[in-house]
This record gives sequence, C-alpha cells and structure tokens, in this order.
Amino acid sequence: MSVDAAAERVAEAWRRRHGEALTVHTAEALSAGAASTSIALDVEAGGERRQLVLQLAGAGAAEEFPGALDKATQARVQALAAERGVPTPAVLLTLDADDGQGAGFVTARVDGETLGGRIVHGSAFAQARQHLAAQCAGALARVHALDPGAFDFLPRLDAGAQLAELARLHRAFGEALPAFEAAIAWLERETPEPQEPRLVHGDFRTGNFLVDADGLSAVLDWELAHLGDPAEDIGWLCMRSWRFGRDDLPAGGFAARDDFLARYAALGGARVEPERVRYWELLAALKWGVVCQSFGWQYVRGHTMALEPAMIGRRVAETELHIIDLLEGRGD
Amino acid sequence: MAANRPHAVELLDAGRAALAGLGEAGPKQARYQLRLALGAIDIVRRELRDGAELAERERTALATLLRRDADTVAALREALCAALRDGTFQPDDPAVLAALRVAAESHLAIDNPDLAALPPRDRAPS
Repeated sequence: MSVDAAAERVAEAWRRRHGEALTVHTAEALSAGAASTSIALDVEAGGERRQLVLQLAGAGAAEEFPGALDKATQARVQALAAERGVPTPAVLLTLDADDGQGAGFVTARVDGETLGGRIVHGSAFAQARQHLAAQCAGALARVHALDPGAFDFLPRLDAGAQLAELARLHRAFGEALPAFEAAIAWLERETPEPQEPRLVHGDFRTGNFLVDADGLSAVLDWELAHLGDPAEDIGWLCMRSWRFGRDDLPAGGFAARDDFLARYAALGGARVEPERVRYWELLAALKWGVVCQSFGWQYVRGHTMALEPAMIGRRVAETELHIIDLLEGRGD
Repeated sequence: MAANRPHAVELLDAGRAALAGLGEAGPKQARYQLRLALGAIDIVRRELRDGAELAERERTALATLLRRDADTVAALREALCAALRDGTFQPDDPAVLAALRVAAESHLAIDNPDLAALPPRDRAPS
C-alpha cells in the first residue's frame, strides 16, 4: 500500500474512532523494515496541528524476530506503559480489521535521534550523554516496577524458554556454528533461578530509543515485550554490538556497568548481581547472532533478493567474537 | 569454504542486484544500497585473497582440538558442535575457547577486519 493510501485509511479510522475529521497535510515513509513500516504524518485534527507516526506490520516476506508481538498487542503494551509514566509516546489509534489495511497503530511523534553512532560519538549529543545513564536506568526501573498483572496477556519468557527457542531456531538452519553451541551449552549449564516475573521491554538498546539534546526523549519498539527477568533488559543494553565502539562504557556506549547498576537501584530498580547481567549479555549475543544468521538464511533460501539481509548474515562473525570474549570473561 | 553463509558467490549476486537497481532507487536509498554493495565487494575481495589460508587456519585449530583430521572445515565444525552438545567438551574449556577464537578471528578477517577482541579483564595497567 502506498504511503498516501495508508494515510487516507488512517484519516477514515480516526473519524470512526474519535468522531472528528483528521486532515493529512504530509505523509512520509520513515523506514520500511522487514518486520514493520513507519510513516510520519503531519495532520490537523480537532483544530490542532499534530505530528504522528503510523506503524504498520511489514509485508511479511521476512521471518520475524523470535518472540515478536503482533502490532495490536505491541500497541496495547505501549499504551499501558505510557499511561503508567514510562517515557514512551501515547497510542492514539489502533487499527483493526474493519479499517481496511493491515495491523498497525498511530502514536504521537517525538523528536530525537536513533542512530547509535551519532548518539555515543556526536558532539551534538555531548550534553545528552551526561544524562543518559540516569534517564535510561530510571526508565528501565520504571518499566520493571509496573504491576505485572496489568500485562498478563504477554508471554512469560524466562531464560530457559528463550534459550530453548534460540537453540531450535539456530539448529534448524543446519549450519553448524561451534561458538553458538558453546554459548548454548554454557547458558544451559548456568541458567539462573527464575524469579518473580516483571514486565521486560526486550529491545531496550542504543539505536532503539530516541535521544535529543537533553538525553532520552522516548522509549520505542515494544514488539519484544514479555514477562521475565528484569536483568535481561540490562544485559541486552550492555551487549557489545550496541556500544558503537565505546567499549569503555559497556552500558549502551554511554555508562560504566557499575554506574548504571547503581543508578538503576537508586531509581527504584532491584539490586542486580553483575553475574546475572553477564548471563543475559551472553544470551543477548547469542540472540543477535541467531537473528543475523536468520537474515542471512532469508537470502540463502530465496525468501528475499535484497542485499541488506545477506550482509547482516555476515555479522554472525562479530557475535561469535562477543560470545568467546564473554565466555573468557573479557572486557569491562 | 570457511566463511559463514551467505557464501561469497551469494553475496556477489546480492550486491550485483543492488547495483543493478540503483537507477530506480531514490537518492537516499541509492546511497544506502551503494554503501552496502561496496561493503559486499570488500568482503568478497578479502575472501578471494585470504579465504583459503584462513580456512586452513580454522581447519588446523579444530582438527588439533578434536584430534581428528577431516578434509573440510564444515565436517570439523559439525564434530565440535556435537561434542559441545553431548558434554565431551565444556564450553569454558580454555582449549575449546582457544580453537573457537582462531575460527572467529578467521571469519572476522573477512567479514569485519576492524573488530578486535576485548582485552582480558585482569590485564596489567598499560
């Protein structure tokens, strides 16, 4: 569906849902990923100019990230989190089958940068970086403090369940990767005791939240949300692929590990053992590795002819290195 | 062939298709596809130049660890995976990790030569 056609459907859905006209002034595709498409809309509704984002489910050729939620469930999580004080854009409209297009939802549009390299290196974000540790630790602490009962529609995914799924996905490709098997064996042996499940964002990392000159402006992309171990979010944030070269600052490329954990605890999070974070960091490296491998295999299997997934397949090598470094206890 | 999938020929096909489509892409998309295609050419170039030597390096490391000679890297990778799955080898055995490191460094020499291992944690202050 073209961008203009999608915008038109949103205007109709808005009228049905909110009983007021919505005029679209401009509609521009922000990104067209394998799993979803984002369209920026500048609109007028109720006599007010508003900036919105429409997120639509992708065309479907690509296999989804393991554990990805459908758009309606993702919207429900984001709406609940926004109502409960998490800095994430409010959900203004969720499309349903009667709206005549695929699944999707509309949120307010928040300004900010997502490119990780700019966020951790750019001079425009020097001041932002001073605040990111406290803001990100606070946002995660807030997410993890929410009543999990309000999110009982989400899957419960502890380490054991995620590991079994990753092992199954990886082995189904039939491409033997000993570094991945070593990670699986270690993670199976060292699986932590499951604890009281909390809301976990699942994809909180530099490059996936919005940053402006003052720091964190919005938490985005709730499609991997689930109930599980809060340490998972911290391990994912610390994984080396999202540090964009700042290995001296393992937490997202903007904070030292101890500093981040101390702020997280001070801002309402639980005290998390560094070993538990390292466990989840290794699981994160394996997960990103399996995702890279699955992108490569989309090309190998002929599900896509695009170069980008083929190139992501060759990023398996970097995750092999991350796994070995973590198994040897290297790095800060 | 020691690199991970997609194979060099597959990458070259994907890169060629991306270049062939540049004329129809918008300027922003064209810049991105061009950058990707140049990256693919760099990978294939390094693999053509050094792939055989790097594959032999991985093959030797795995064969020494497994005390088993085999003619392909793929067969040795399969054997090491099986040994890790059935517990013959522990995943934090230093000999296993040393062999895995040789293999990973061989892959990175082709796919991402700028990425270096992290330093050991208890390193002496420099």
